[in-house]
Amino acid sequence: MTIDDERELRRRLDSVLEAITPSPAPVAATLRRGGTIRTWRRVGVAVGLAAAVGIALAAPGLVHQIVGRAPITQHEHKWVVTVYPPGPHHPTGEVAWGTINGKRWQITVSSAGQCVQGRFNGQDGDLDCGGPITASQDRSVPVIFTGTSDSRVTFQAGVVQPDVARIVVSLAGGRKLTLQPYPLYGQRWVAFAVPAGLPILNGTAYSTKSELAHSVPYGDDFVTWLRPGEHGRAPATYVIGSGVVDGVSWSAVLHVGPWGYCLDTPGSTYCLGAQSSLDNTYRAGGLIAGGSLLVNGEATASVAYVVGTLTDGRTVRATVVGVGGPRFWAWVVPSGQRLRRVVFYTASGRQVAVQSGAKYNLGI
Amino acid sequence: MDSRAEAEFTEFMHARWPRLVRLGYGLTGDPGLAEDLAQTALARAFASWPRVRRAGDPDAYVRRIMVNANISRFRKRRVREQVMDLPLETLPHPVDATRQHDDRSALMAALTSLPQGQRAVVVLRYWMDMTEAEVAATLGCSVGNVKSQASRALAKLRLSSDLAEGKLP
Repeated sequence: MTIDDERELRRRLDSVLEAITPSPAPVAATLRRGGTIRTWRRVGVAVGLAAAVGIALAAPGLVHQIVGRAPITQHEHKWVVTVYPPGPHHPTGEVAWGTINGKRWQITVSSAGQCVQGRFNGQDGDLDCGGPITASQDRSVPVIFTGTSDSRVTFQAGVVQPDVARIVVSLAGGRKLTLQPYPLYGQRWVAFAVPAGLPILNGTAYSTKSELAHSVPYGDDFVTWLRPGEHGRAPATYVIGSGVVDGVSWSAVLHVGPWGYCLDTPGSTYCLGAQSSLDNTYRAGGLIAGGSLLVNGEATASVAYVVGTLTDGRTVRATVVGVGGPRFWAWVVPSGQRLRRVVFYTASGRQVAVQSGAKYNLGI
Repeated sequence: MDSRAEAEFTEFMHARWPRLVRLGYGLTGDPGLAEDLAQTALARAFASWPRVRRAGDPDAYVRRIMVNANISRFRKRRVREQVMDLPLETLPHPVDATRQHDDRSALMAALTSLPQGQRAVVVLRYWMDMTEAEVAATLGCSVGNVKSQASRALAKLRLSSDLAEGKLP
């Protein structure tokens, strides 16, 4: 016996594990993987940025056009999907279960309400953890779903407002799922699972007496909840930016509709609710093959174009695209470059806002 | 995700990567799986970064994902792993290579003979120096369960032939 006490075990573990020399941190690959993991947590309001300074050198402006309605996926299979509240001998943390074509699924949440995990046909799905899952602070939002999907199933769970008695989710093919809030850990939970590829058409939240709100999702994502009778915007698609960098083509495509605004860029989708107040903002939109980074954001009404200065002194420039109120833009930061700053200009060249890009570092 | 958050995540990843890989190695006994486990957890953290950051303890989040992902991996595979000799390039000091290699192999053999839960408790409690309450929160079980798992794990390690006195230099 060589391990006589805990101290000896600690010493040995230290000696073994500290001797491991990992490869360099694969930051770019991790960001790519993270960007493609589907999540449903809405930011809601874009991050605001500050005031003025800077001069731009020209780069190709980005042209937009309306190219049609958002695509609707067709479902090819006959799906039978059910959802039930937990039964009398349910597993700890279960908030809902059901079946997909006879195969059982279940969704559990951790005791601290921070993790959601789906399980389908005996196999665990991805564990989705983070800060506490709670109801929205905006009482007009009946539920914020959080969840994950894989190639087989999409799992979603959320905490509802106190006045929500049920949520009905309509799926393609005429199937409706009625989600009954289930009390657990001091909150009321709803959850459901659908086969990946089966379109979710809409969701409606009801009190005991009447409809509270309804929502048309973007894909599986309930971004915006509308009041009864409200229709939201008609679906349309805008190309916010496109081009070729290092021989690789890229595009940033904005899908507008009753769901709000969802910008698809290589490797990621970013959605804003229809009621979001937009400011002068930039964010990373995903990595393009070859290591270039797509950067996009919103702009206020007076902004006509946005210029980014790179570490080698070059600049990139994007024309701001109005989509009937909100205004969006996108450009690409070439591989090996970082952003020094981002400046928002009016059409006459007046600086409206400036944001430092000094800390901007993707580690690539 | 805004650029500040992304820069913050990148900084977080650079700072935590070595320790997370070591944790992964303790959990899996395989350097390749260790890096994959760490990357999986960090990718999930990145996907949820605004909420993870708001929660205030991203380290706990990533540890939890790693431990759970490893247990899920085991459930799916249901195959007993065998500790193989480690690649020499992971050894830091050539002079001590033989001694450290033996020591490491012996300890990892003993560790991987433990059930997943016990192995996780040992690594979190005795290598990461986490309290029993912290280990319980990470594993999603009670403090009592952590105590009993640790006690059983130590008992098994004491009896492990891999750690027998004679096998160590």
